[in-house]
Amino acid sequence: MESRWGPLAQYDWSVMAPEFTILIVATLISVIDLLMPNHSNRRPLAWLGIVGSLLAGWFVLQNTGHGVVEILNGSYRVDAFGNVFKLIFLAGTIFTLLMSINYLNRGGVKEEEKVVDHGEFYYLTLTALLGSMIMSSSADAITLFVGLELLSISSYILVGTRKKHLLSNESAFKYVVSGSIASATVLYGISFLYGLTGTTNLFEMADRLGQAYMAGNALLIYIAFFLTFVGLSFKISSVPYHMWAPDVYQGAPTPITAFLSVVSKAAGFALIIRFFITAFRSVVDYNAANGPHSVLISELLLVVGILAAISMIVGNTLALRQTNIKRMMAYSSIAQAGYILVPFATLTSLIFEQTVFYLIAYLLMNMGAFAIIMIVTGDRETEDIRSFAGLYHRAPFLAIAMTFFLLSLAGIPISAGFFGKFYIFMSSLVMGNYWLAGIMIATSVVSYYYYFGIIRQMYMRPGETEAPLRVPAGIAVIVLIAFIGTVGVGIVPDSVLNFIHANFPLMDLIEAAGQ
Amino acid sequence: MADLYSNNYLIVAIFFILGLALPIGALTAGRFLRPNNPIAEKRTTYESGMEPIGGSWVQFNVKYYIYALLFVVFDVETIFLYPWAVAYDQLGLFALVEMLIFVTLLVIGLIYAWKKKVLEWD
Amino acid sequence: MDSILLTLLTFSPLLGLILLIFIPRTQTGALKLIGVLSSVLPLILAFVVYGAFDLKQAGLQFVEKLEWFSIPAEQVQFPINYELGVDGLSMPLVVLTAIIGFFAAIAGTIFVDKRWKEFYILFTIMLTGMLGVFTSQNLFLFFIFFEMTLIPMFFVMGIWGFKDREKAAMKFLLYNGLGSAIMLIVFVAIFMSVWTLNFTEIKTAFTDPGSPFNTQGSPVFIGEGLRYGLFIALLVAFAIKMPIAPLHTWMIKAYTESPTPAVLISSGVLIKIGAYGLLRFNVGFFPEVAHQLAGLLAVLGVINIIYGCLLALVQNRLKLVLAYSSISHMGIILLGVAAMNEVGFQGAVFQMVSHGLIAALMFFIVSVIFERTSTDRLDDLGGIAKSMPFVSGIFLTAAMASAGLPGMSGFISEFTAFLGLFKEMPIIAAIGTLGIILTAVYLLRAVLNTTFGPTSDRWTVLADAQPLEVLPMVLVLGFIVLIGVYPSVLSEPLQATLQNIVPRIGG
Repeated sequence: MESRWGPLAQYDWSVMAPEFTILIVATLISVIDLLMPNHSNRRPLAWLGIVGSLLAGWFVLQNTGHGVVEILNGSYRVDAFGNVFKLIFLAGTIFTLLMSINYLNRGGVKEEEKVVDHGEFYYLTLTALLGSMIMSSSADAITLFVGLELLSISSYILVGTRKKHLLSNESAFKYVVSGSIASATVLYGISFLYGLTGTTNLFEMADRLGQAYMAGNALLIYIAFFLTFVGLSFKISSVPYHMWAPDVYQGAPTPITAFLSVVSKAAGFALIIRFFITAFRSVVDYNAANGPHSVLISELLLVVGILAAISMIVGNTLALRQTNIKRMMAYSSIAQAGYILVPFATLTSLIFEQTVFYLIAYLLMNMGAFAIIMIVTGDRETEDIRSFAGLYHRAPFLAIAMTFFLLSLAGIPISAGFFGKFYIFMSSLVMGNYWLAGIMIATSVVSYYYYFGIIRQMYMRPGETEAPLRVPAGIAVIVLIAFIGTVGVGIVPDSVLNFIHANFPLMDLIEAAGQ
Repeated sequence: MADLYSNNYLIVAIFFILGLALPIGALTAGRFLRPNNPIAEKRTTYESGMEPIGGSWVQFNVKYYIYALLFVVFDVETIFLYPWAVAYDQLGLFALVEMLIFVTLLVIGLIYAWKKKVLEWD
Repeated sequence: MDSILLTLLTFSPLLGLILLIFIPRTQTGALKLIGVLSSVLPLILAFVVYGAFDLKQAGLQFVEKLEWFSIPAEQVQFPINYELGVDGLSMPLVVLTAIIGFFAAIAGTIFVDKRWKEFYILFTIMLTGMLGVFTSQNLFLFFIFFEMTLIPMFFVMGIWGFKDREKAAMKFLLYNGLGSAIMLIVFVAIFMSVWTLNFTEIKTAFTDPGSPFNTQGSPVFIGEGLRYGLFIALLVAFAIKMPIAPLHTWMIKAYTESPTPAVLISSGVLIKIGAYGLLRFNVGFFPEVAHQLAGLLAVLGVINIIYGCLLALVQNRLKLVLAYSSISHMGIILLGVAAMNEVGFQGAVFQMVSHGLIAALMFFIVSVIFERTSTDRLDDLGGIAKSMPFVSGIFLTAAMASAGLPGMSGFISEFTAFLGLFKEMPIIAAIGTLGIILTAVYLLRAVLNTTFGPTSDRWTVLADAQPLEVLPMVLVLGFIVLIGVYPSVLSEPLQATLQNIVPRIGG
């Protein structure tokens, strides 16, 4: 067997089944799209994508509980950490595709607002998903960069799919330019790490980076850390690489905005946590006056904490002045990125659970909110916050669901978002990071103002029309799932917590394969 | 040890200086050695021996760009296939399957280009 | 021990909510009826609990404990439980909440003019939240119930309020949101230091000298600095809620712009949560710190009293007079707390209950007047006693109760609060008593200007109180007088518990 099939066959390729599924489905969709008549409806392609994502999710579940599997000489590893993130990406993509079907096929849209090529839209969403899946599973600087670029390039195109829409073009261009700069920054940072260690494999890098530190290359390690972190902060839209978010969120088609704010962001977090914790964990200062201490925890993450704090402040204060709902959600997502960075910045043993829990909560509440935003702004043909005026009278259930999503985003019980914040708090306070917890809570209160601004419009302002709002079935399904999830996870958070804890031993992130 | 790290850049610096010095040196030497006889024909643009037509500031059709892109795709394919073919015995059947997948993906790319009317000029 | 009485009591309003969802919005009569009935049920249950409450027992009664969920960590699980229970401190406040809830539900039928379905749905959530705040025995639960009162109140103020309602609602939300946010930090910090959320366990951990958390050199030690920090943070959180000047501005806006039921709930119960928290958490968890900072509390109390009185004296609107009057009465609660002795605490709780009833009654009367005259300006009103003798009579009586006339609840509560403080800080107490005189002055000015004097032609044909209005007024007044003449209804359940809370320094 060995001789006939060659050395590459020794790897357990079945662990990549989820990625292969998405790859095959994306290819299939692109071929079918090419062979289909020009004017026929592309809706079945989206369903194909959804089925493919569900299948991939099933494969991911098959992969869980088998410990760590490494293939391709340790450059690709399938572990619980990657798997749980893949599930988040897949769920986010399914929501996005469901939203897209309704977005692309809605009637009464101005010519310049239309997305020209529907098939392209669907398979690019899948390739973006594939990119994020690779990001979450790669243990090699090159693989992770390939994943990063696959996600980025797909999203650049997706943002600009409204080809005749000026804002969409502008935002896509801004996204490409700032994204390229960010990628270059990441590469530059990684090149330092390669220079110091002579390897791109994160685990080998980890061992040698400790030696490099003791050999007196501390400054270069700091530079490498900050360049890489700054570059990767682009993906999670946190300070200092956040400025693209408002323009791109506004210009992108709404389902893509939701995709960027959930899937792309989650992928960024998966990458950041895996990369820095794996590569920098053994950088230890043995010569410090007060005994050996981890440089990552005691020095580098302080800066991450400061950047997280600035993200919360910038996001939440600038959101106050927004009148365009998608821009407002962009600033809100900058602030949320700041919250989710807190577990990483404080780094306790709960970091994985906290991040994953918050991302799940964020997935539910943000997808629900964007689905409603899409329906409402599409109906009123404006993205002004005033489009929500009188929504309660037009579609009471939609308004109530939106209220819960906003309460959850603001971190008010009983909701998934509240518990997520509570959970994050626990670690920042146990580590004595009172200032970070203080900023987090103070900016949350600031965020009440703009989240409740929407609630104000929905319940307290008369709308221009009282006509009942028609909600397509796909959107209703998203809203319902997101609503049940947001409230349900808020009432029994341990359902999700125990699921993660029991099935995904996330600490295996830094364990060697085969354990 | 920090010295060792920066010493590694010494080679880069030497190459950089050599790279700068060689063309400058060659051109300067040529300037002094060659005879100086400027005529009008010598000043025209070199176009493989043809008479140049029109100004050089014309806009090129953007389709050239996509042509070039397609060319690069197949160029890279060849570059990738060649070492594989050379090392075929060591790599085994698995690599053959992989190569087939690779070629299939490129074929899909070609179909894409074809369907998107990249192969037609107008 | 396995009584589910408190769960029934706390969640009984939600029964109404379920019914309300299924009633079409056009059936206003049915909506109002269910709305009121959903406040009657907790009222009955509150009295059942009160009747079954063992007055001699100091500890918690009707304790319920269920595992809600737990947070998995590396080696341990952090359990977060569902824990209810009442002791002598929360019992009177539960009854107060039930009474005010009923009062507000009736006020809703009179003063709410649209969207009854939504109103009563929000009302029932709010009522559950308020009952839960006082019955919960666990910080997590307390916080959730606390927020459950906040959000519906935002809606009620913003939808049914007067002209400037949205701004008032926003201000209310942001101030109280900030307060609850600070509270959350403190709660998590406490949780992270003693690994429990249960009130009794935290109290033991913090105050028992033998507890591992208090012994220096033990694995977990809660230092002096942290205690002071948490105490101050909690004080700020509850100062916003009570409110203590200068954090009171939200309340002025809220009282003038909110619909009547919201004002009744706000002045009757919500601001008492601040005082309750002060006693339960600040004094209960950090007795030494509280003792050290008693002077600060007393000074804040006096400032509140004098500030409230002086501003009430110059207001030209009845609602503003009552709003500032609330601030000054909250000052008396603070003084009672600052006394740090049993008598003072008793006075504070007395004042919570008494002010809850009186303030709600007076706001109700002002709304009755406002509904008929469309004004609450003192210079517009005058002489309405001619046409509305009954309302004016009740108004005067309530004002007298508020000013501390013997025989009513106001007297006994202010008297005990000051009595407690006189033992500890006679000078501050003496300054504080100035407030009582000022209270009488501004209340008489306001009430007499409204009810007596020359009757304007406009006010000669005003209708006196309707039966629906008479019933709650008389009921609440009855309670005010009952506490005044027979304070034991309140003091008996309190005594045993308060002895427990009083800090025993060096003991």
